[in-house]
Amino acid sequence: MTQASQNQDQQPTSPGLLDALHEEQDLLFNAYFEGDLTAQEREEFEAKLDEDDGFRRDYDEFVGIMSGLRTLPFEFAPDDFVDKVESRIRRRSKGRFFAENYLYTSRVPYEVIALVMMVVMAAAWMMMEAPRDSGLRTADLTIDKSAPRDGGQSGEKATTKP
Amino acid sequence: MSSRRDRKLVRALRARDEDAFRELVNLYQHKVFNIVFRILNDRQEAEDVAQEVFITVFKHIDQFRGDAKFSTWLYRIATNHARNRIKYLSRRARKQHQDISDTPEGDMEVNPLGGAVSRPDKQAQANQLEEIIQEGLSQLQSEHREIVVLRDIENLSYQEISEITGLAEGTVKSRLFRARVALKEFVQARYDFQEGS
Repeated sequence: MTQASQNQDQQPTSPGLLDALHEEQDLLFNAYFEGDLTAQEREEFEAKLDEDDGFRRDYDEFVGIMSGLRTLPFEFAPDDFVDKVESRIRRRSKGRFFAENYLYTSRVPYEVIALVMMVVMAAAWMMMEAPRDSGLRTADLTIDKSAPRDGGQSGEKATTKP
Repeated sequence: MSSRRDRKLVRALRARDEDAFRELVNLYQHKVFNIVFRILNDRQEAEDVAQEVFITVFKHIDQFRGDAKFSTWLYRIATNHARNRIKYLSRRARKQHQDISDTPEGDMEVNPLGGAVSRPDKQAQANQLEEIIQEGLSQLQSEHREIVVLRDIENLSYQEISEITGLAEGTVKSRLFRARVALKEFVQARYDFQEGS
């Protein structure tokens, strides 16, 4: 730093040397700002700030820009951001990404289905059993003896009664 | 977010738990959006990229090994997405620039992130340090810009930035210095600190 300030005092300077001096000054500003200087370097730097108005002005500008960066307003995501991300995931994955959760939240009601099936089966069983009790018709194959015995050719016939 | 909470959240995400995903997005949406916005300097692009960041997290959560903090992994994905978007937009802007180079407006400077860059005299008239800084930020090289965003805006440590960018700490410091100098020169050329405008 001391060397830099001494070099700056020597006028005139060539453009290349001026660039090098500027770079050295920037390095110093940056190191001081980051707290990377040793105690002695820091003391020398602060003494230079007190003595040299131009140096102080340059450093204040540097700090002003750094502060400006840190105080840039925070940009918030839109209110519907979460919904948009989720809908994009659903659209692209056709619902597969949230599969487990989907099964949990809208799973098939197996208990209800089992109960309904039992009722249906019971009803079906009852319907199948029902003809044996009430709907079955039996054939009456008794022979009418009053009918002529001519081999059935004259009108003997077996009748069925309901 | 504590590491225990991190682990719990990651476990739930691996199980494709929708509630966990909502919690993740709610926790980090603004942080991710702010980082991406500051790198891209465009709200619409930032929103699109931020959404892609969370989709990538959800798709690749199995690849998170837990070596680094979850937030570090998340910010790495965010900066990678932002970097890729800048490349894409730059390519597109170059193509558009070629297409319009024969038109009367062809001498307009083209910003890869959309819109035309105002010339220095107009910037000085803008009289707003914040706008000039944001403009200067968007003019930095993308690898410099993301380091300035992570360090000077998000206030992350060099170690975290190193993990996010995959660069050595020395390289991070060196790039940060170059970026700050470039930004300082940009702002000083457009803002009169003596007059405050």
